[in-house]
Amino acid sequence: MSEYNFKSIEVKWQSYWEENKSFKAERDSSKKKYYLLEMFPYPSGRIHMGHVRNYGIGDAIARFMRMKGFNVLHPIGWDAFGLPAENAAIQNNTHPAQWTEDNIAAMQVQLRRLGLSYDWDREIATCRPEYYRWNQWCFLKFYEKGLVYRKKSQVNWCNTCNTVLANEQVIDGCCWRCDGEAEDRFQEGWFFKITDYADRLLDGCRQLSGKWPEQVLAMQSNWIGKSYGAEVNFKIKEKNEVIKVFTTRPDTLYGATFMVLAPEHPLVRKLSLGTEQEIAVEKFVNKAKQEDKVTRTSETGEKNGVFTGAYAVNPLTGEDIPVWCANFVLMDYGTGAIMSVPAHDQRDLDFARKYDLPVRMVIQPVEGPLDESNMTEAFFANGVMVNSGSFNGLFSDEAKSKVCEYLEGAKIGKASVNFRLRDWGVSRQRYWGTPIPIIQCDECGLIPVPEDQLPIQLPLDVDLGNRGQSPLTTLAEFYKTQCPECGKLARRETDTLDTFVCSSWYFNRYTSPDNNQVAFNSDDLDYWMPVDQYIGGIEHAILHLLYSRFFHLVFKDLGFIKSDEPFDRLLTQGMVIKDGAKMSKSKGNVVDPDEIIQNYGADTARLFILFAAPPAKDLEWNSQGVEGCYRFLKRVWRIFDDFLSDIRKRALYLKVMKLVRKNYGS
Amino acid sequence: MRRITHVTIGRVTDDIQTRMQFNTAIAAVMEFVNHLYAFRDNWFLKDNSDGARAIVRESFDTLILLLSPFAPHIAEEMWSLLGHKTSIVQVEWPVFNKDFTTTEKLLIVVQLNGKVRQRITVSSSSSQEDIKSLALNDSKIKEQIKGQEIKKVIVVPGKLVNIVVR
Repeated sequence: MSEYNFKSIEVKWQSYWEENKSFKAERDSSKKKYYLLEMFPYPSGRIHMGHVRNYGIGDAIARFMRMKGFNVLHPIGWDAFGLPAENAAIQNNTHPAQWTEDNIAAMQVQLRRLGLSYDWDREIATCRPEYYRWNQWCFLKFYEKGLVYRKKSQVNWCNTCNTVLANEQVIDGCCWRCDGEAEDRFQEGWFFKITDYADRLLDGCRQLSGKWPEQVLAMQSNWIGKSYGAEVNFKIKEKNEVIKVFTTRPDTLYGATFMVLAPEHPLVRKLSLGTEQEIAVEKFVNKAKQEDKVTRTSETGEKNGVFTGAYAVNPLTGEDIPVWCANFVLMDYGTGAIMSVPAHDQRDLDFARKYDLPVRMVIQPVEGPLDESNMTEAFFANGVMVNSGSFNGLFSDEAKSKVCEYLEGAKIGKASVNFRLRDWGVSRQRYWGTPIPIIQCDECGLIPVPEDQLPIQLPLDVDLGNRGQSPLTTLAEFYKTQCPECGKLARRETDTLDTFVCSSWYFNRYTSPDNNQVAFNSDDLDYWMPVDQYIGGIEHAILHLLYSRFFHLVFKDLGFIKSDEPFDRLLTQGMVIKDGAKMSKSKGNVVDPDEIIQNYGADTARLFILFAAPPAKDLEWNSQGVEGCYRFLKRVWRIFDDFLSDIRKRALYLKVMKLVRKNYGS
Repeated sequence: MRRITHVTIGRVTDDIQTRMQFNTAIAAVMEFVNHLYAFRDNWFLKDNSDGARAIVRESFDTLILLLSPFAPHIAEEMWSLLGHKTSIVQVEWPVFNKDFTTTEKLLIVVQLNGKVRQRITVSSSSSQEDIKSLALNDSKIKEQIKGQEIKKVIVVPGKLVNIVVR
């Protein structure tokens, strides 16, 4: 009887798979393909249980589909640019490249010990020139297509990371990576015109319904935030200015008794100039800008405002209405100005009551008229229009388009669509990223680097000591260059690309990872793409997953790719929880996968992580569960061993019988 | 055993392929192993025919294949110990055969006025009428009810037949 010796078994088969390249994927048009992908890891240095879960789920599917006769592509790589490497390098007095490559090597060993069925020949790392060269190429293609522009704008700035953050990377007012507070800055940078694709990204959400978790689709749809309504122009009394607002409720226009501008709105100071409110406005604006946007707009945050001293004219009633400035209006949404209809919007009503502004009912509920002077709850449902001139008596929902028609006819507004989505700011003032392939020439302006000069190599011989500023900005060998147009001395862009650009298309590169002629070979792309099953955490719902869909649509328009969506099916696995909280170093509740593999083996670790919970649910770590899975495998081994010895006995018996028959006759 | 083998193939395949519920797939494999233990004494001692041996062999082959997406190393080891020359990676996933899942024999108790008098085996696909007539035509039962009036026959599917006589 033999023991279940997982150590020798696991080493033996890992070497076997490796030597025989058992999981090598090759294009084969006679076989149906299946592209299975887990979100590639950041090379932090160690894998954690979340990785084990993500890859354990993926590997079970990959192995199953292979046995089902599919030609399976299951690659792995490294999302290797980014700030942690830079910070760690400064701390440990090493180089980000060294730190990153060492981590990759250490994690490769760990992944191999898990027995995951990867085609290692397709491994990529985004920090290597062979990869980021094509990242730069993507930037140029987007540039050619008019999808890249540079502008000075209000951006999110993280003081801890010393860099700009995209809107998607600010979560509840904080940096997505370090949780530090994000502040506003006015700065120049490069943007991708993701807003050009807002409608198609939204349509895609509908197509993906049933194939992606509904929660992710809802998050993306909300983030894109399409709303129908009207754009209305309000003239400022006695001033040659117009305030444009977007409203989803043109039917309530007659009830607009005041207006509110965001503190950041350029008209605020202009309007108050010379009025007795000038000083009060100045004070208020300075204070409001310090508050964080989440509190400003949250339901519970205190709504504060100040009268600007100016009046606008309600285009339908002709009445003068006061223009206020208040903290709860943001410049990022719509036009940064709103019309306030206190009778039919709760926030407007609360504000009107606080500052004693008029309330007028223009939509009457079926139950009867509202008490304008005492009401504390706004009526936001549909009803019958009243106090609304020629629109009186119409049902509010139907009246929306009629009001829009009227506005258009009178040239004071029009039906309009508003999106919450903003363009994607991709400039980062950091070192460890893809250099942006643009040259600034005093004569010719901004000139894209010609394709044949790619890659623009990230210089490795740099001094990272000056924390807070990328060394590229002071490295003359890097930024000094010649203008590709006029040949005169010019300056390279020293910002690097957001690392989310690298991860927006890496799954395409896996289809022809070694090709140094093109970013992706079209035959390979046509055969393998789209990814049939993608697996990763829900925290990427609007970041990586939205950006990747955007890239894919652009690639389609550029004729590189045939499919509409990069990921046919998406599985968002739950978290790994221990003692009631997500496993994390800061909480000290981490279980090291290596320790489990050492004591029980990779098979037990994988079995437990799949057995303990359905993939989409959170998984509560429990050591008895691990023990249980280990006992189960031993139990399998034992009965198998019995069976095996029986087969051997039987074979021996038959052999003996044969000999007996031969020697003694039957 | 063959029925359980195929029921398990069906469950595991469906759990992975259509529902992606690996926890229930693994639970099915665990139950399957319990059955193997329960049947262990029957393997060779009682029925050493080639047919019976083939069924046991099929059970083990299946167990290894079904386990392989979750615990690939132990699966490869067992597979090679069974004498297979190719890696499990190149083997096809076991095919679920519905026929094997429905041909199980069931043991039915036959009672006379509530007292157990006989046990008969019927096919699990037998109808109530079939089971009733099998019970009434059983030679031992026939003997015992000879000359008595059959008042009522109650069939509890999958369990028993109670014949009320007077």
